[in-house]
Amino acid sequence: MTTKTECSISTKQVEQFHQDGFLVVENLIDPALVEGLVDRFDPLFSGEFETGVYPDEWHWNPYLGKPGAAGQMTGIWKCDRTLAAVITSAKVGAIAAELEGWSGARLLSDGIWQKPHGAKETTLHQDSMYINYHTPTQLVVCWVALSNAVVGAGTIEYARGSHRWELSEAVPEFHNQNKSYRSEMERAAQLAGVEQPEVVQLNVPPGGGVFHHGHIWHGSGKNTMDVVRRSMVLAYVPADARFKPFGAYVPGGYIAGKYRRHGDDAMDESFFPVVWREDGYRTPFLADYCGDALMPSLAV
Amino acid sequence: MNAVQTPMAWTLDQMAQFQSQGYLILDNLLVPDQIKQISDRFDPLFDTQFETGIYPDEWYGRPGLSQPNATRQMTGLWRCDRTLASYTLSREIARLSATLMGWNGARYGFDACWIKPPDAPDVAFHRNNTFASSVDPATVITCWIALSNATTEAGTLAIVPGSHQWQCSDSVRFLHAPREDYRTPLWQAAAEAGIEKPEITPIELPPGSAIFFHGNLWHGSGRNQTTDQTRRSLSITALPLATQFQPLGIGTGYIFSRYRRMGDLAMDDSFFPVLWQQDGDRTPFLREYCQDAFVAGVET
Repeated sequence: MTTKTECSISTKQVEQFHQDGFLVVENLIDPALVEGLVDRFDPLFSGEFETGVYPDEWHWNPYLGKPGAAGQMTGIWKCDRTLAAVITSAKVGAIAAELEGWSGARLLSDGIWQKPHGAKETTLHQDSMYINYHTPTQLVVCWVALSNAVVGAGTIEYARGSHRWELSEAVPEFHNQNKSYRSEMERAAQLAGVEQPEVVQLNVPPGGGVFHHGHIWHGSGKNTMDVVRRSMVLAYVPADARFKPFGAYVPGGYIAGKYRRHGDDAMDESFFPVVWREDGYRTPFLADYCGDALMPSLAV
Repeated sequence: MNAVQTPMAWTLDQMAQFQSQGYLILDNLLVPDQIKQISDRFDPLFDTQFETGIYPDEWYGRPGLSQPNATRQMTGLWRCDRTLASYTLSREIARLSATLMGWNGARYGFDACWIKPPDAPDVAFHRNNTFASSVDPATVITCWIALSNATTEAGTLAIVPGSHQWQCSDSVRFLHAPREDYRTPLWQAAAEAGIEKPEITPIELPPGSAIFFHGNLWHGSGRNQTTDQTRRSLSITALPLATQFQPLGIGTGYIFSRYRRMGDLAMDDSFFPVLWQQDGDRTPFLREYCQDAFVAGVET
């Protein structure tokens, strides 16, 4: 099974990604497709998993959850094939690879978020704080708006250029901190000699995506508007990435570290599929499992 | 510190009771120091402080996102915390479990802590084997250890003796705070099995005592009706040594199928280590990973 794709990223966009640490790509996903993805949220958070497989993380459900709290799930591609068909698409992975000059992209993890009215801030953090156990160590994340992500409704925000700062110690809790949600980032800025970091809050329509560097500081403010902010997150590493050599376990392995087989540094495609490679390779089981919702006609 | 100093053997009476009733109580499995050692690990876990840096397989009752009285349940503890792993991966509990079931060896199935604060809601009646339908044989045994005074008022485990022999069906459902009566699945199963009045038996245990129960035994728990007692327990569920995955498409994957390697029915030792076998060794990496709480010093 091979899949060919044409990337639509210009040299200028690549430069902007490296300058700012993030890049907005409008119309990444067709709005009609977005609707189908959003329809999956309520069943998923209620515990109805289309494939019967439970997600890697499942924070918030309607039975035990605090009304108005944010909801987050990780490892969705194994639970729901409608979402998997987008999450494992070649198109998004190919853009991530092109931004960093990789020959291919491997899906490391995924996530969905919902922030209803009143949902608290998400503490600014660097994704690489939690994903730092592989080599080559690079990481590109695509954040996709599945609702109108606007300022005031908890849209994503970035500290522009902060991907060039040192990687900080992991922020231990980004859902429920009692201090300012930007304080950890501001401390890192000081250490980097940046007096006043520029925080950019983005307005992204449904289906729009933002690719960001693994080291960039990002998070989101409180949702003060009467809308539910929904988003999806896709994290990629180079197609040839492997686990760093570790002993009996992967320290700081977060989610992915659980899937390392003892004595084997390979990132098994059963758990970390290659979604795009420039030579046309794509992890074979994806075709039967979920197809590719973003380029079905190009799968050959 | 060790309560179980030398391998104990079940008596014929105990074996017979387990076979006919589907459960067996073992007093004083843990001593007070061990109970404290286990219980002290829970607060850090729910505060997102994982000793290994690896996140659990399931997590309900996350502070800040859940109602204050929500039951706190975490599954997959062994990967997050090696102190807890020294209990949940112990050879002795696996051996006791396997011999009750007549198995020649036991693999890790899943482990979990269940913390029910005052006013914590009901847990729906279910069979643990229902959650193992994606593996073959779909058979488990659970060792449930009280870490606090497990009283009826505090919502202790409740079982229906003999119900492991019922001919009835069950399905995977969300267990916490069901909107219908938490006994509804039990009533339905009893009707299907032709049992007029199933006898629900609360298992009252002092801290450190345990109940071993068959994977087909119906069990659940009621609300914690106290205002000042938090019910804590640790459960360790084992699979027979020879367990494999069912072919794709059979059963509900739950957590098990997340660890399925494509094109391979084997339950990989890295994810489902062998904890005890009659004529062989445990999975080798366990020696490197953690101590065994029932064996003095590092396991050799």
